[in-house]
Formats: sequence, structure tokens, C-alpha cells
Amino acid sequence: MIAQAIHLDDDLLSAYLDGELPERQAETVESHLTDCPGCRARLDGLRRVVHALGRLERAAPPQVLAQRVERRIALAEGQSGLFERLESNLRGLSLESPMVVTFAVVLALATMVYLVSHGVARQQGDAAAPTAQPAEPVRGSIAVTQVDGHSLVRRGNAWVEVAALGEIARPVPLDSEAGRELAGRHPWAAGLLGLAVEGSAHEAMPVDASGDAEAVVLRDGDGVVNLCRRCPTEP
Amino acid sequence: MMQAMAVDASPRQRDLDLAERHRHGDGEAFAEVYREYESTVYNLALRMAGNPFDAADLTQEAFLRVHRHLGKFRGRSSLKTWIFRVALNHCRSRLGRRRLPTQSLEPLPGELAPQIPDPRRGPEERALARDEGRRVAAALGRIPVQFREAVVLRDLQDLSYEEIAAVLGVRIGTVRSRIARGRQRLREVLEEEN
Repeated sequence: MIAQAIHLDDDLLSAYLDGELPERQAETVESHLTDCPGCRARLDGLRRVVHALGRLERAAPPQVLAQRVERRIALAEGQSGLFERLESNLRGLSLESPMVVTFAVVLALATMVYLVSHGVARQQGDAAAPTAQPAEPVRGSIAVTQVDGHSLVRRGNAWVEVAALGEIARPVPLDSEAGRELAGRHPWAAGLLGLAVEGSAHEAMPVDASGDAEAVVLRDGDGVVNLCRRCPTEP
Repeated sequence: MMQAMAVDASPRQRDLDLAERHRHGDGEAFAEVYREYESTVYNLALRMAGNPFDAADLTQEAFLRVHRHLGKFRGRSSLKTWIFRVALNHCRSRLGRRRLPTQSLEPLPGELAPQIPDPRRGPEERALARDEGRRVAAALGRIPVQFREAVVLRDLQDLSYEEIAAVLGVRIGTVRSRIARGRQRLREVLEEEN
């Protein structure tokens, strides 16, 4: 039983409002509310909040979203399809086959060469200044950096997310909290992105990307300005 | 005949059929799921992230996960609950890693996202509702994430306490408490602004 002197707690009032109380408990709450103006006022307050939330209109998803999802799925399926084909081809070969042995030896050698060269490059990178440069910087190119799964380019004093054709790219001003955090976390990228073409800042601009970040074409008022062929990876 | 069968089929069976079709490479199965839940997931992400740019990214990534794992769906929960869980887990993981700026009362880039107008409202009423909506959405962004999740699922997505418990993986008592505390905090924030 809920004594009137105790008052109803918010959990109870809120669940009552949602019709989520068992019948007997709901009756007890109603009985208390009849004689308790304080609890009635609190219930009204909660009701106003629920009402205000209920009046929030639903937003329509961007029209290009479905295409983006479709494109990403096609890309992912293409990649997994490649692995599946390779796997299936290998399954079709006998383990004693000279082709398999040759393939295994070539794969092992390639892996060793990659690991050795990558390790050396990494060591050299570690010893160098923190603002590592891309191997072949091209003046006027737009370097793309990956941050938390986003492809970003620097435009003036803003970071802009690479977007597909017809989408509005999302600017992240450097003097914003997010921009400062980005620059703080990626000092190497700040040096790298200094090569980007200076342009108008803080404005959303349409960006035309051809599907992968290796061939980004960025358009502004002066026309096509990008030549990024090989995107740097984070050291 | 076909229509009668579709009506008779239980929602659980329909969910399982979709998963089965997806497992066998029927592209239309995922397309059906996408069409049915795109708006729901986008609006969930929008209210969790507070802006349409992140909401679009979160929705895209959530559906990629749905696509990747739909074949493994075994009907232990409803597909709706499962999709909410996938989407919300993704929101948590992304929004937890990035400290998003808290929402201000200034017009948000959310203005770029077209709202679905309520045909029952006139232009003036719609304008007022937009202002009010902006204020409430901003206030929502200022309450702790755990409470926001519960309030969004209940008051914006209209899920039952049982469904919310399944999405969040917590007990119904916890759901009840989070919703109540979320609403209370929201009320305080809105009152502060008044």
C-alpha cells in the first residue's frame, strides 16, 4: 500500500503515465493522486515533457542515404566475393599439387618482403619528426586522412568530409572543439594537410568522389582542384 | 490468397523468412528490411547524435552491420528489437569514442534534414512546433546518454518497457527508472531555459 504521507516516486508516476503498472498498483496510484496535489503537479510536469517529446516531428532521411548504403554493400560484397573466389579456387586444388606449393612459397616470400619493408619504414617513421610527410607530396593535391572511419580533407581552416556526388560535404572548422581535437590527435595530419589548396573556409561544398578515396575529385568555385591519387595512411 | 497468407504469417515467422532469404542471397530481403526501418533507425540516430550529419553516418554503418549479420538472425527477439539493438550499440560505440559537442539552442544543421510535416497543423503552428522541437531536441542532447536512450526509445520510438529492456539488455525495473529519471532531467533542463 502507498501511504499518502510518503508520496509517489518518479518511477511510479512515470510508469503510471505509460500505462505500464499492474492494475492494482495503478488503482493505488490513482487513489493517492486524488488526495495529493503535490503528486498531481509532478505527474502534470512529466506529462508535459512526454507531450513535448511527442510533438517532435520525425525527420526524413537524406535521399542519398539508400544509395550510399547500397554502394557500400556492393563494395563489401565485391571484396568478400574476391576472397570467396580465391578460397574456392584453392579448395579445388590438391595439396600435393606443385601449383599449390608454388603458390604457398610465393605467398610466404611476399609476406616476408612486406613485413620487413613495412617494419623498416615504420622504424624510420618513428625516428622522424612527428609531422610525417607523404612519400611523394604533390603541391596542390588534396590529401585525405581517415579519422574514425571518416575521410577528411583540409580546406582553408576547415576539415571537410569527403562526400559522394550530389551530397553536401560536412565542414569541421579547425577552431571548433571537434577541429581542435582532430588536430591535437593527428599532428602528423595537420602537417600533411598543410599541402591542401587554400580555399574558402567554413562553407559546405559539394564534393564529387568516384567511389574510393584514391581518386577524389574536389570541386569549388574555380573548378576541379584535386589530384589526390594515393591517400596517405596513418603512421 | 497471397495477401491472406501474408496477413496470417506471424511477425516472428516473417522476420525469420527475411533472414532466411537474405542467407540465401535474396537481395530483396535486405531491401525490404531497409525500407521498413530506414526512417526509424535514422530518427533514433538523429536523436542520439543530435545532428543529421552524424545521424546519416550512423544509419549507414548500422545498416551495413544489419546486412552483415542478418543471416545469423535466429528470431530470439523480434527483428525490430534486434535492429534497434544493432543501431543503438553502434551509436554508443561511435558517440562514446568521439566527444560530440553538446547541442546548443542555435539553429542546428538539423534544419538541413527535411522534417515530415504533420498535415493536421497549419503553417504557423508548424513554425511554432519547429521552434519548440528544436528546444526539446537540444534539451534531449543535454541529458545523460543512458537516460536519453531510454526516453528516445519510449517517447519517440514508442517501444514498450519490455521491448526497451530487450534492446538495452537490462531489466524492466531499470528501464522504468531510466525513463523516469530521463524525463525528470529533461523537465529540469527545459525549466532552466525558461
